[in-house]
Amino acid sequence: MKKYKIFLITSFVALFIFGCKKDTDLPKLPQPINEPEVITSLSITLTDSSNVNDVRTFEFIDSDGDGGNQPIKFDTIFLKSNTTYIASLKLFNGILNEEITSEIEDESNDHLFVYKTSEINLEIEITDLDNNTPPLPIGLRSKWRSGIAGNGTIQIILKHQPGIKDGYESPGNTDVDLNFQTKIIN
Amino acid sequence: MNNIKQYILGFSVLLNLMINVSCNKTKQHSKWLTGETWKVSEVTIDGNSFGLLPQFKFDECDIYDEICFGTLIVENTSMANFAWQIRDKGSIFELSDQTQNVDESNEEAVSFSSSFSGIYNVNQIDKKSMELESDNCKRYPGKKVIFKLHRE
Repeated sequence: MKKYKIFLITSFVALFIFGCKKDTDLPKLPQPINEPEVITSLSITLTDSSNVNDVRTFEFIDSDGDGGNQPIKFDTIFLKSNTTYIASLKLFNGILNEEITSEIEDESNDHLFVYKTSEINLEIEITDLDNNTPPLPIGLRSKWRSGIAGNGTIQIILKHQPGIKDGYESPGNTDVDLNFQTKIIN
Repeated sequence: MNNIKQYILGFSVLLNLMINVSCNKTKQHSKWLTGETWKVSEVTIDGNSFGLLPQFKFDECDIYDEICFGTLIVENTSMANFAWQIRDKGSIFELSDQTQNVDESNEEAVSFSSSFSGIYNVNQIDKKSMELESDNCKRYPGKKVIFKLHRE
């Protein structure tokens, strides 16, 4: 009987020391390094530089974000020919119900908006700069100069480039990539 | 007296087995992943299929002594690094993007890795297949994301 007692005690001690590590022994997993911005809406406000009463807003809204349901609003942009507009962007996370334009501004050293026009007579010049050395464009504010009438597209891309922003599109993750149908009319 | 001895011995063996089986699920499930490559065969977000189906290459590691890492591979070209962990008796899987440098060459993989970083319930797992479910992926909070994976 004594042998059994010793065997039992020894086996239980061994079991608890060596046999079973707990989940509390697991190392803590590091937080993700790259975190995507959840952006469900983007709005563009354009103000005619020669007539501040001519303000037009165009929106993209996908309430449930990427995947899931189709966007509920994807405006076509209408511009007057031969006009200069002051443009500003606003971004919104509809899932958390918060505007995140200021977040992008706060992290402007890590973000870049890229504008690409196709088959349309339009020049876009980014007018805001970040705090990098030398300063690099952000793209929340810009100047749009339309030419002759025509139809085409404006692609707006938001790149997230933490620590690797160089003023170009290549580095980093893409947080937004939208193609707005655009019409320039006389 | 013999009956008591047999009872104690039987009870202790049963208790050992119960404790070992229950507490080792974390280790057992992790072992099925370490050093292996698993292919994602299906991803759905709220029931809608997601087109990109990468491979998860899990590095060899000791889950209790170190953080486990792996490589996410998209179409054999774009790669991202991630940390992973199975815990809570094998019922939870966590994925955390750990890619240091992002550029054009790995953007697709990093986008996947960062978008789907999060904590998953393990719906099913064996040596060859696994199903994960989460409603708190970084890019899809509140949406039901389901992964089906098969070991290659």
